[in-house]
Formats: sequence, structure tokens, C-alpha cells
Amino acid sequence: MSVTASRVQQEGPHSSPTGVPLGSTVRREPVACAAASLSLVAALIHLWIMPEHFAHWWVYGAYFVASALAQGLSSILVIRWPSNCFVLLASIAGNLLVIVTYVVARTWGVPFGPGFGQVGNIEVLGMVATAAEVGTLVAMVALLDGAYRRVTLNGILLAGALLWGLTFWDTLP
Amino acid sequence: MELTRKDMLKLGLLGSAALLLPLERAARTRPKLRNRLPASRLPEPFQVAFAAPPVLSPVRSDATTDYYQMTMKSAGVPILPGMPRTEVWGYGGNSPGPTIVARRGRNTVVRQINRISNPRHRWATVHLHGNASLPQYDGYANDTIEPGFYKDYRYPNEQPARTLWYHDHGVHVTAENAYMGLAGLYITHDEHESSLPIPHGKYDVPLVLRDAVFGKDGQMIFDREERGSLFGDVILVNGRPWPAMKVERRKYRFRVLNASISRGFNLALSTGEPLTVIGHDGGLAPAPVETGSMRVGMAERYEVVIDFEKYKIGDKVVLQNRGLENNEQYASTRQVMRFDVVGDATKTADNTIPDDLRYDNPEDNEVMDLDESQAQPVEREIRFERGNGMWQINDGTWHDVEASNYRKVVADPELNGVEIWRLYNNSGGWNHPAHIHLVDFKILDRDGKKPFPYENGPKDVAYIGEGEEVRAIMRFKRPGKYMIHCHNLVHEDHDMMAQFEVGQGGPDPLSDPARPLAEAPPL
Repeated sequence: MSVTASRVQQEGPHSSPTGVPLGSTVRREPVACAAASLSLVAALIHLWIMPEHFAHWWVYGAYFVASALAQGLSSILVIRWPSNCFVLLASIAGNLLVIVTYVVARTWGVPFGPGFGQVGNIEVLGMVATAAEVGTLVAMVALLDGAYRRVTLNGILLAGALLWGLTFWDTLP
Repeated sequence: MELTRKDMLKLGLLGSAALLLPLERAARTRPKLRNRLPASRLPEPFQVAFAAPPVLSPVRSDATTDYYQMTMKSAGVPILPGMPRTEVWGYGGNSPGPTIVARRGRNTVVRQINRISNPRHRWATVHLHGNASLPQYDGYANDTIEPGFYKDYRYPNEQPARTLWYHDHGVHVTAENAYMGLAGLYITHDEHESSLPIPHGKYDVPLVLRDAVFGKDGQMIFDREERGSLFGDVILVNGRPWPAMKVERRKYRFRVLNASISRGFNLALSTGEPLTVIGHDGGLAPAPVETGSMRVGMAERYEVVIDFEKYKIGDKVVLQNRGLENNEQYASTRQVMRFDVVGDATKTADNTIPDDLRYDNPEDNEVMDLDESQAQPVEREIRFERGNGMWQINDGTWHDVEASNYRKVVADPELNGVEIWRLYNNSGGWNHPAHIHLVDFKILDRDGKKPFPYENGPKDVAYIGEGEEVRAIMRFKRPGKYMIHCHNLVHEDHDMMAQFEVGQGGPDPLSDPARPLAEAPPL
């Protein structure tokens, strides 16, 4: 083994600009398990609160059913194929959509349907689901490699910047 | 597989937005609701004695006209027992305001003075709901009375006897003004109504119903950021929480007005006995109708007879609210008030409900006699919907009316024309009590089916349920521009209001503006 290869093995492929490793080498399976668990938590919460949204408008209910199914499916797929870029990217995109929708609905207002423009109430379950989705994103990004990770992170950065930016824009006098 | 600091910062921007922005918004917009009086501290129902609003005496009268003066002002009034006085903005400092009792054929002039001193208050406008007023005295939303100003409203009392109410109609502030107390009854009598053997005098009782949210300091809470509805957990009847009224064993006639901002009532008696409906927004029904329960939307008025003769002395009858779809119902809002039967009738006259309540003069029955064959062939569609974050009517808002310099209209019926309007609720899980100014109308059908039997009377508000379509027929008897809007006042303020113009050349609604109080001549 060359010196370089040995160094990479010791420090891992990703290190800080100073060259100091940020953490020990992490095995893929525990991270996938964490992503799957958090995704399952979000899915179950969406299923739990789905009936009240159905009562308001069937499309709202369908949105929660679809979110729950996608998150449930995602938790299975990520366990089965933790390195599959398609699975990871699709799951990240789905969770990102749900997070952005939640933030918009709780700040600017419900983005579509009969409650359009109505600012929803903040509830513990909603916050827990969102925290689980953010956790899912982090874990799934960690499972991505190379250019996929870089592009995904930049997309997430853009989404975060847009949400903060829109908020400040909205509060300008 | 590790994430670098840079990666975590990128993820952190989204994570912080997801978790902090909703909390920030909630903290910014709903601070008042944290102060809400908990259910455990609400007063016990039926502990407060019932009282009717006071009746206002005219300042003076002449051969044709009675002159009244009211001062809108803020005042502290006792509402919740054991709590500090509650600030209201009331006509004469009362909530509800004093009742004006007028006689058909005599004119009324009401000088309204705005002396509300609370810095939250911006302006007021007074609409006499149910009166075919001239446009400049109809409470046009932008015809405002600022604090320190007054306006003399001139009302013809030409229509058949009815239960009207005056309330605020200020552009974008109606909900807050009315919520704070700017509402009161205006009752007209005529020869026919007075001659009927139905309950009169002390047996003719107003019930102004509304809900409210109170803080721990006893003050009413109003959330200006709310764009949907305002549902309180305290029911007030004539300004008193869940009162108990002593009644004799005989018939009483109750003039029910729902003065709530957003709450509809579904009224019924705890005994299961029927309510007999004899009157509506526009006066007497053609015939009495018995019903086990009845929906009373915001701004609707019903005259209801309850016969207490069938009860024993000592019986207690609760007027219940069985709730309506998409209304926030609390345990406390399931009851409205209680009737305590305390004695036999001290007066047995006017204790009958005739089978026929119609006028002898056919003109006075006109609205209920209108037939579809008399209407213009083309029906107008008035859509109540949600769009661009606003409550809209036919894709437009009151802002569009203002931007058009008050020219934009959604309908232009001919003077004395008869039209059928299709009022369509296209806003999903919301209901909209639609109020058409100027006219009385008859509801022809709901979603193609007959209206509820108890709705068979002259109306000026039609409750349009979720996804529902109501057809109504009406005649337009006075020229000028008049408003049409949702009477969920939160919706009206944001911005579900439009106008129509009858004929051409009617008076400008803004032609008689409020003037500084210092310039007011003697009334």
C-alpha cells in the first residue's frame, strides 16, 4: 500500500480544507437505517393526521396519503439499496418538496386549494415530522457520493436560501 | 461518507428554515392567542340574567321624521362575571347598540358620531342592513367616518315591517369594528304586523347572538392576521354570556340575529320541541313553518316563536347550537341560552300564530310572489371563490373596485328589473353567507333542490354552503351602486366584496361624506 492510499484510508475520502478528518469512517448501513427510520416516522405522522385534511378537501388528504406512501416506500428502498443514486435522489427530492410545502403553508399560506393563502397552525406533530424529514435528508445526502452529493447539496442550499430570502422579502415594509 | 462543515452549513440553511421560520411566523402573528382565557376559566352558563338591549329614544320628531343621535365610543362594560370590564366599541358605548324602533311610513335620521379613541380604531361606516337605503346612506364601505367626524344617515322606512340591524361596514375594518361591538337592532313595525295576534310588546324579544374570544385580562381578542375565520368559545346573547331568561307559560316571539363574525348557528331546543319560524330578514313569512332545528348564518335574521305553555313551571329549556360544518365547535358553544319557565301567562292576548301571515296589499307580498317567468332570461352567476391569496367574487376583489375609481361592477340590472342570480360557492371547504344590499330576495333552490322549508320568506342573506349553488330571484327598485359581499366579515375585509349598479344615474354612494364634528349643525 502506498503512503497516499494509506493516508486516504486513515482519513477517509472527505476531509476539511485543513486536511483534518471531520469524523471517523462511517459504515453505510447504520446511516441507511437512520434515514429509513426517520422517513418512517414522517410517513406515520402523515398517515395519522391525514383524516382531518381529507375532511377539509380530498386533495389535501390525497397529498398526505401520497407523502406517507412515498416516505414509507423510501424507507424500504434505502435499506435495500443504500447506494442506489436513483433511490437516494428521488427520496431527497420528495422530502425536500414536502419540507418546502410545509414551510410555505406555515409562513406564507397554503399554496393551493380552498385554503389557499391561509396560514396553518403550528402543531407538535407537524414539527416532529419536519424534523424527521430534515434528518432523513441529512442521512441520505451522507449516503451520496461525489458529484451527486455536490449537486444535491447545492440544490438544498438553494432551497434553504430561497425560503429565508422569501421570508425576509415578505417582511420588508 | 462523512459530511464536511461546508456540507452541514448547506444542510443547516434548509434545516433552520424548515424548523425556525414556521415558529417565527407563529410567534410574530399570534401572540395574543397565548393570552386566551382557558376553557376552565370560562363562566358557568346560565348564571347571568337575560336582558334585551335598551331602546333608543329620538332626539326629536316632526311630522314625517324621527331624529336620533348615536355616538360610537369605546367603553368598559361588564361581560364576564368575576373578570375586569371588557372594552367594547359600541354605539353609545353599548354592545349591542340600543335598538331603534321605527314605524313604517315615517322617516328616520340617525346622526352617527365617531368618538372611538382607541388607537387601533381607524374608521367606521354604518350600514342599515335590510333597508333599501339610498346609496349614499347605505354604509358604502369607503364612505367612512373617521374619529372626530359625523354623518347623518337618512332612512326611508318604506318596506314591510322587519328586523333590521345596523352595523359597521368600514372598508377592511368591518370585522374588527363589529367584533368590538359596533352592531345593533333596528326594528320596524307596520299596521299589518301590529294587527296580527302574534306576540308583541314584552313577548317580542330580540336575541342578538354572537361569539367572542376573551383573554385572561377579560378583553376580547381580535387577530388581525387571521384571514380565514374568527371562532370564539364564548356565546353572547344581547352581550351577555349564556344568559337565563325567565318566561311565562305562553308563546314568545324571538327576533334572532346572528351578529357573529364567522360563526353560524344550528339552533334547536333541548326538549326536541319545534321552533316556529314566522319571519325572515325581509319581514314576515307567508306562513309559519315548524322546524326541529334551523341554520342561522351570519347576518341572517329569523323571527321564531317558542311556545312555553306546554312546559310546567320550573322546567328549564336550553336553546342549543348543534353546530355547522367547518365551524370550530367547542363544548361551550353547544349551548346558547336557557329559558326558565317561572309562571303562568300574565297576558293571554297575542298568543296565536295565524296560518296565513301575508299582507292584504299584494305589493307587500311581492318578493314571495315573484315568479321565474317574470325574470330576465339570462341568469347572472355570482361566484364566491378563493384566488391569488384573496377571497374573491367573480375573480375580483373590492380592491379592484377601488382601483377602477368605483366603476367596476359585477352586475348591472335594470331599474325595476327582475333577475335570478346564481350564487355559487366555489371555494372548497368554506361557507359564505352572501348578502345582497338593497333588495329582498326569494331563494328558489339550493343545488337544484327546494330550499329548507324554514327559508321560505323574504331574505337578504343566503347561506351558501360548501360547494353549493343557490338561486335567488329579486327586483331592483332603486337606482345606484350597492354592495354584495360575504358576511363572514373576515372574508369581506380580505376582500370578498363587489358592487352592482341598478339602472343609470343613481346617486353617488360617496356624495354625502362625513364631516368634522365641529361643523355639525343642530340635529
